[in-house]
Amino acid sequence: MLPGVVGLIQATEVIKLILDRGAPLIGRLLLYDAMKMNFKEVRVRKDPECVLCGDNPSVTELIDYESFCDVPLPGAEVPEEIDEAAYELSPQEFKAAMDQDPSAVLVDVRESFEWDICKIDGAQLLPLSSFEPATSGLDQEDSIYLYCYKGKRSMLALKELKKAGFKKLKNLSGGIDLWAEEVDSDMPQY
Amino acid sequence: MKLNNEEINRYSRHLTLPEVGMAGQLDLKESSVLMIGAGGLGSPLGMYLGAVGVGKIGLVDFDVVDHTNLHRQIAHTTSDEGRPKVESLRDTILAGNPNIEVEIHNIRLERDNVLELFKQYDIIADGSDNFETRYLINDAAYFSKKPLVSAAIFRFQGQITIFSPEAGGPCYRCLYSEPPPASLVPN
Amino acid sequence: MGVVIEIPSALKQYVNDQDEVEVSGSSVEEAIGALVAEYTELKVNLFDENGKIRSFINVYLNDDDIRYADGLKSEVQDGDSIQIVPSVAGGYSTVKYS
Repeated sequence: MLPGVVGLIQATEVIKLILDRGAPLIGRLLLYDAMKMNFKEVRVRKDPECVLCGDNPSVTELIDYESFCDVPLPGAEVPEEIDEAAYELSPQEFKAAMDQDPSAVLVDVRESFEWDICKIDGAQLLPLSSFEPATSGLDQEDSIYLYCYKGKRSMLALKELKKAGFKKLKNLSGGIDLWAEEVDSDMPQY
Repeated sequence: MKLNNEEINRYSRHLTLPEVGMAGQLDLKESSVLMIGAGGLGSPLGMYLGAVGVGKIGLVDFDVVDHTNLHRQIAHTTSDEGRPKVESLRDTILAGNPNIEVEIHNIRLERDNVLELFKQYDIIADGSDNFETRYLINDAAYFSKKPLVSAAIFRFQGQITIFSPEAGGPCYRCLYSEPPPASLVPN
Repeated sequence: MGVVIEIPSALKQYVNDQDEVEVSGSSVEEAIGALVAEYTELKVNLFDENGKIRSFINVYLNDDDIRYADGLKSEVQDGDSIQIVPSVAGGYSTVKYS
């Protein structure tokens, strides 16, 4: 429902501009918080150092916005480059491998709110947000089968485990989302 | 430009408001608004702009209606699943008010199509869902000298403002000079 | 009574889901310093490696941007409110997810 409230405020401001009536939200940022149910307003000033509309603009034509927005995460460790394909299994392969592997341990690295929506039977939850190989309780002797929603986060966890010395690692390609399509048709998708 | 009798009847509660009146209603009819995004924000925005009689509404979106959109993108209904969002929203707007014109642009907004598109409208309304598009829209609105009515949401919070450097106000880059790191997008 | 720092929903996970945190300090820097000292994960989300507020996060003291006062050195008094406002764009999060 949040977009309804915000979209209607946006519509109101459009109409006011057209009618040239009232006080437009120029130079003011309106902040709406549905949980607190309050509106706050902060001041927005024209920045004289703005690279577009400031005194000495350096952006004088449209730029490459894809690379402008491709900002690396500061301070983050760059995950190790590994041959990801060597660890990826399709949903059917993943299931077949697990079924015939007595040392298989299935690990779900999604967050708990996702776990509450659906999960693969037999999995244990170790959310990536607090994932540490050393405190995970996982054993290097076991085969670790990892999954998340689409397969990217579990690959990050896999790289951390590999770095910590784990050798028997598999990743569910396409995550639980593809699993729901290809292996378990009763599982909801979100 | 004049209103026909059906329009006069339709907008009569506007025409009797001193802040709108016949002159204001004609201003609305003669105006044009380009909306970027036909989803959560675009649904109510488009439906209201259409109902009040904005003469020309442009819709930009390249997405199709998905089942997971329906709980919040209220211009789209269950039977619209799989249709382009711009078509679905256009039909909803025109069902509400057939007197106006809705132009659909089933495209991704890019560097090489944005300026030509902005030229054809008076006001730009940003309801997009990513930073690349927001900076593109901001810069293009600045170069086109068009006011930009901007709305953005995250979880239970919304931010709304108007960027209008041509009228002496700030632009999006004055507010946030850079986007957050791309790798912070949840998946 | 101290200084109240309002936390945006994008960062609430780092402060035990609180909407606001009360701290003490005589400048914005001290107040936010006290906040990140208590909630250490917040630090990397608010500051860059040079100790500057990240460019996609604005800090407002009593509803005005501290960039146009004395920045982080801006003085605060008991009863003041500091608001942290990150840029948002629909489905995106401006905070570290993983």
